[in-house]
Amino acid sequence: MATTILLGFSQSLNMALIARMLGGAANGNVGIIRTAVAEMVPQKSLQPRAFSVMPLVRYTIKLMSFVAD
Amino acid sequence: MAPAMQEDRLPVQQLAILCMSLRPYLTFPSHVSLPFPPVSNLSNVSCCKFLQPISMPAVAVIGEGEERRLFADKAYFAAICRFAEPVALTNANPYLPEMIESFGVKRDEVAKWAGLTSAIFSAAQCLTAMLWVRGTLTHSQRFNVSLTSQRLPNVSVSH
Repeated sequence: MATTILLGFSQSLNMALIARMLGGAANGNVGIIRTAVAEMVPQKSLQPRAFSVMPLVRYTIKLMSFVAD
Repeated sequence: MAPAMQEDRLPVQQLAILCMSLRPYLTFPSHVSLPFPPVSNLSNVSCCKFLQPISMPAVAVIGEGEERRLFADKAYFAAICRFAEPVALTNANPYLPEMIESFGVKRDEVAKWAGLTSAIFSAAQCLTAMLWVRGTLTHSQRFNVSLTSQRLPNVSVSH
């Protein structure tokens, strides 16, 4: 969120690039969240529902971004 | 007589009545019992011997009370964690060309710099993802916040 605000307040091209790069570097959760969900839900019968939450959220946000475009 | 075949109803009403009559056969709400016995009752049948390992419940039943509440907490935790990345990724797309143009870049090169600015996010994410994973592997044993109701098996990470 801080890097998004930094991108919004950037005054030059280099600053925008650096803000965007920092935003990408701070978003390392994607590789971890799958393992975290697998460790948080040890019940085998509940894991399909738990793993279906992540694509649901992801594509809902993507849909919102396409609508905003 | 089947109620869906009556002539004095609209086709929409007939379709609705047909769907309502099919409702006991839908298996998704777990409180509706299946019209046929579950597969696990067939375990004594000798001809189904090779089918036994793939026998599984047709509906994943979520527990009641405390377990269900804990599962919802975990699922919403994962959802919130997953919420931030697409927002940060697709946030700048609508206004990025105008923003690059406002920096004084020539009009011929706006497209190139907008594309590079969009791509550097994923590039940095690609380069730092392994660092994040390494950091979690070393520090997850230290900050062990247990969200589960039962103890997880201790997994030792060797370095």
